[in-house]
Amino acid sequence: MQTEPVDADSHLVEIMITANHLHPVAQVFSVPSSVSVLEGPSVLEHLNRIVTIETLGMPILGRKDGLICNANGRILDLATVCNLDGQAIILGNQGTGKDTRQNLASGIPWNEDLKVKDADDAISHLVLIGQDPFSCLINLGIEPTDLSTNNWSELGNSLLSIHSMCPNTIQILTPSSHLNSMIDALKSSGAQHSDIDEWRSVRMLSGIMDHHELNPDNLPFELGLSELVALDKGCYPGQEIHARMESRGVLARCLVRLKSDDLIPVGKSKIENVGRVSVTDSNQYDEGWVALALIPYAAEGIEVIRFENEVVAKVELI
Amino acid sequence: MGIMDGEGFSLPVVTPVEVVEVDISFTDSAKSAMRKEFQGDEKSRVLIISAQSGGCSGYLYDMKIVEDPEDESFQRLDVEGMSVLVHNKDSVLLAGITIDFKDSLMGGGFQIENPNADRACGCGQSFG
Repeated sequence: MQTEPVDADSHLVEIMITANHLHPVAQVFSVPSSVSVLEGPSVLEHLNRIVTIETLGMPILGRKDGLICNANGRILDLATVCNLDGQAIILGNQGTGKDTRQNLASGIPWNEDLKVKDADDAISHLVLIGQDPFSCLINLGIEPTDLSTNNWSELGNSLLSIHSMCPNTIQILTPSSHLNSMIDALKSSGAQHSDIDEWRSVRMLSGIMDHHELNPDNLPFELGLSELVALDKGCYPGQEIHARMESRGVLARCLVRLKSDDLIPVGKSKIENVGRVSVTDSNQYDEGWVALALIPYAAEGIEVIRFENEVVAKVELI
Repeated sequence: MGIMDGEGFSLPVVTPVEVVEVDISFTDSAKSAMRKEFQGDEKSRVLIISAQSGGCSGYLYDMKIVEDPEDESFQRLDVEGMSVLVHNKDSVLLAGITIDFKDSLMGGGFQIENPNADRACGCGQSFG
């Protein structure tokens, strides 16, 4: 999808040029995610020791998207941070919350009063995505110019922000007790409530990564996530590896989108004239099958991949 | 803030649950350097050895000589009259370490050898 920034200095307001794969207004999905809360006077300092981005100095209701990596630089979890007053919400991938919370809790300095809390059941993650998701929010009293990728806006007891990987997408954090009423309000404003299986196709068509890609099989730069890595912030787990990759400027693999009329097989295959292809997720949509895959960087310009079972997939850069 | 304000909005707190008995070995040069750092105040002050998130490998060592916090969350070791404390939450990470002291201008100071670490950063301060 191509976008044209209108005002890069203030709020992120973008004109959607082509987003034909998306619903003409918006779809709302309840996306399974892990949600952790860090509480105490030094939440930003503690997060800064762990995540790949600088969290010091974040304003209240500020948003930053980073990663939690292991010492080998590989991805353990996504960390979308919302800074509240003395608390931070960390939105992560589905199924990673327990490990991320243990990671956060085990390294708390003995003389810092910090608590790590499990909000997996208490806070839900909604995604509003379409060609015109903002129109659904105007009815609820949110102006599109209030929203950006750098901060969260409050709507009652919910928080809204633009997804860092796709400007057509609004992320909403809402107390789980209010989930149904929020979905109903969005439906009343023109959004279509859709099931999670459809989300898999929509997210791949929109270039949004989840636990299928953001996991220890992969390195941030291979997924094109250099903006989620701050090499000038000092040490964090994985920083040595990331710095070495950045200075050498050589990538082994890159992420692409595949489209085919036939089922694209998930998993690793060795493809003639391409090399090792790792399909992370694959799902059917109204025009066929869509998948995300890591391919050798040397094959980045390739137009089609022919799998062993004769499935032919068109390759698109993300 | 709104999202955290709901009535009955109390979340389960996550704590590291495993606690093991901590044993630490000190070389003669480490004991001698510690003695110097205590400056004769071994009765009221203690050395706290701890681990916290950070560094390239996941955790950073920290050593501080402070007033005795008199907190039961710490395990207390007596090293020739000097009190060394390790917090229970750090016990799994620090059990069995050996502390040495190297008196050199480059790369000198306290050095920690940690059998629990799978890897260590080149600077020696970070482990994981």
